[in-house]
Amino acid sequence: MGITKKNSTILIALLICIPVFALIHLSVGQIDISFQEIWRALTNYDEHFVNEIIVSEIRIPRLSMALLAGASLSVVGLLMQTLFNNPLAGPYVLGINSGSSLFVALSIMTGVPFFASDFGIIANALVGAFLFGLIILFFSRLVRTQVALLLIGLMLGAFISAFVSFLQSASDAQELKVFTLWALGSLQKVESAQLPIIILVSFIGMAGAFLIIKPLNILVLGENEAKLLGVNIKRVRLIIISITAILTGIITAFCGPIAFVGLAVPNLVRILFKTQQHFILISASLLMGALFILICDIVIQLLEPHFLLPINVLTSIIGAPMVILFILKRLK
Amino acid sequence: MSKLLVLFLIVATLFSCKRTEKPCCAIDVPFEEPLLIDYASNFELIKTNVGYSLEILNPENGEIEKTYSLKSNTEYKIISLSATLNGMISILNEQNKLIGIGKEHFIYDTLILDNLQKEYTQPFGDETNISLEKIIASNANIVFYNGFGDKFPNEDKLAKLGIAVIPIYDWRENHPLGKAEWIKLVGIITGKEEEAKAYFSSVVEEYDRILAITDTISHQPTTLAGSMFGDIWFAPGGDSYFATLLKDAGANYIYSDTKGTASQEFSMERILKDNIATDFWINPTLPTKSKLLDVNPKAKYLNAFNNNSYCYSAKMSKFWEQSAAMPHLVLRDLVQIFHPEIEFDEELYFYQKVD
Amino acid sequence: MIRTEDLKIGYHSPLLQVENFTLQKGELYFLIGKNGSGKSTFLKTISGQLSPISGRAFLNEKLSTEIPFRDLPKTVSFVSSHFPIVDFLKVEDFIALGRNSHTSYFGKLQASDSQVINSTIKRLQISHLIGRFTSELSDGEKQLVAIAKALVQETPIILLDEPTAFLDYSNKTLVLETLKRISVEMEKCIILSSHDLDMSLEMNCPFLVVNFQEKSLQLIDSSVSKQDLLRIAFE
Repeated sequence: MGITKKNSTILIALLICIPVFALIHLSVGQIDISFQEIWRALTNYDEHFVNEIIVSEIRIPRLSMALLAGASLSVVGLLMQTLFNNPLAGPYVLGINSGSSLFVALSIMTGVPFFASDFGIIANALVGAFLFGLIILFFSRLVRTQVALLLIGLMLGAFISAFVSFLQSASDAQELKVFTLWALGSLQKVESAQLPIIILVSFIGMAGAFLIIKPLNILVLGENEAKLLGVNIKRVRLIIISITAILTGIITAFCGPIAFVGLAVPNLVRILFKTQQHFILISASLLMGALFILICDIVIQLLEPHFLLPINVLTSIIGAPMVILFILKRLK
Repeated sequence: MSKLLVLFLIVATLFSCKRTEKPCCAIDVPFEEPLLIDYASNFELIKTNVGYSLEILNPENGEIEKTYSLKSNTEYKIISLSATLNGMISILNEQNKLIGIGKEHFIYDTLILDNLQKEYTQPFGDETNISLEKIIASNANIVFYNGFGDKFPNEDKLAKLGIAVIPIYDWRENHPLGKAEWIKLVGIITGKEEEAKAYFSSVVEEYDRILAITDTISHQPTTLAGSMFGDIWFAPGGDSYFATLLKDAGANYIYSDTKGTASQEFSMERILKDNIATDFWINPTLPTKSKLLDVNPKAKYLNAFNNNSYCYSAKMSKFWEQSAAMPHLVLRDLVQIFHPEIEFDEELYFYQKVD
Repeated sequence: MIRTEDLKIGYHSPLLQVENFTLQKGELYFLIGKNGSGKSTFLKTISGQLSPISGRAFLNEKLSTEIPFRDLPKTVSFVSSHFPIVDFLKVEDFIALGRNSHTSYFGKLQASDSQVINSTIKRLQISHLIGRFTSELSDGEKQLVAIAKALVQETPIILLDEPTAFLDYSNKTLVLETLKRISVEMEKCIILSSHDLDMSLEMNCPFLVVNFQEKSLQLIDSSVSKQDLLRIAFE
């Protein structure tokens, strides 16, 4: 047991990279803003300067969401991979995201104002994610192979998005617009005032993941072995699905769908760290996921003068080929 | 019986189409004087011995994209997916020639709505997934759609059946009167050529009258236009008809220097940087502050959001249907918004303050 | 150590009647029988994965069905026939998982845990495997590592489902002799299921035999002849 020297070095390197890239993230953008201005906005914010408003109201929320979305989705992906004993699992491919979207769509389209409020959207996103987590859990009991579960998840996702499209065509123009926007996936919609609740909820989810590292470590041996070693499988499953719902729900509620991060990052982490100790895997997924989206978003900002690229598109461009590689490696 | 009739008509139009397709048999001979198009730059109408030849010009390069022969003895049955054209058809009181529209909830005119109710006029939905068979079954012989540079689905098949599919580039005009001038095309199609010309002249006259009022203005408030979709702010290009309207209404449009008639794309950062102190915000597309904040929470930092944002009215279909043919009323609204010091007897026609 | 009382076992309907017997610590028992005759069912019942249809089994003088879920891993350890296929799982990490029911909430190993692990590794003579991934081990090495994980559980009873099925002759001998040695040295009650009659007879151990005709499980002394064993188990 214990953390090897190599692994702690990588962890520390990741830990150093994040503030460095965070600073780069804050300083790139269509508007040139000096480090002094960024510093002033962080320490001595004054609403009278446009650049300081841009830093504190656009760039900081965007940076925070990049970090939180990357960390949360990667941790969720890792938990699901361990739970299902399937390296191809992830919140997006297994349709948890879509379940969340479906509930948000349904609630926005009912026109009940509560559902369109922050709290209503969070609640619906969480409930949707939890429900579809249970559905996938149910299917995972029925299928034997890893790819079969992936296919079921993808089909579930396809079905839901078709259903959501159907809802859209049946709904009133303005509500449709609110939802269509939400469905695009964006790190930029969050306001600084909403950050505390998002940070709180995602920290609860991530802390939850650290609380179950012991059963997770055993779960890699499969559910049967875990049972024999005294793990209460039913309870652990429920806890994992709850954490998944909290983290996927909160991120989906505020950023919309962000594809493939949850699948790709934990696989990269395992290849890089070569361990099954979940304390390391969770910490590393968290850091690497945050860094991954951070770098993606820096690339997006650098490309902004030429074309505006949604985050979901870039993560798919990078993530989807990685998934194909993983599948090829698995099935060979 | 009616099916037989449909079949007959299809066969008949097939034959009539064959005739016009072959250059050797073309009988459209242009006359010397073309119909004068004063403002519009995306179409031409040329008088021929059988009626008119319509040239649709590509808004990007001004070259002829398509040519249509419009015969004066043809009774046209129209499917129009363009709100602009629906509005113009209504102005000329020819709603009964409109047998198909896009989506019902984009319709404002009560007579068209009545016709929809009676199922005389039918909704055809989005152009992207429009039903080919439904078009054929409707007996329409002309289809108008908003030209976004894409081909209309099954355009070639429809052409073979003698159904003309015409892209409408009114939204790419760089002068509001150019946009309004498309009513001349509607006039020819509905057989109300003279009425259309007369209507257009009165619009030009009224537009120029209001324009003259703003000539005396010295203070030009700054204005922003457009709104956020996803992470992108779409604003009218500096050469667009709307930029012209803003200028004519005596305002200083922040992005008047941008090129082109198509929408410009900006990030919210750039919008905030450029517009933190801008006086007005026109066309945010949503009529209430709370809905605007749902879509774009950062809008609250715009000075104009808090005091001076104006959206076309809650019933958006009114603006989409009527504004193209009534640029003088849009201009009058905008002058009233930008220059409250000038007194008008009338209320705002299209616009309302976002609250 | 293991005592049965009118025990009937099976999944939903009775499959086997288990004779009343007592299995001692310090002994290695060979569980012999045809495929599908109920060997695994017996192991699963003893390890608590399956409830008896009727009757009772006592483990370490406690009624098996009354042992709390959490305490079961301290009483019985189980080595399944399939070694889990996991990437990047180090041998020492794998063995340490056997300490699960002894460690605190976060599973951190205390000095006492490390001591048990180290002495077990030494006893099984597998120190050279430390640092390697379980996925890279040979079948024989995997079996020894799996036994090590069961041993660090420090249970009086160890059950093994077909531990020699995939091994070559020398590895079979190594594993069986190791188990025999452990049962004596550490005073464990070990039951292993096997197909391999000859090998089992060589070890000179008592047998648990599924009598296929009578649908019963019998305890038979090590002195039994091969013919008798064949007759009971396979005819």
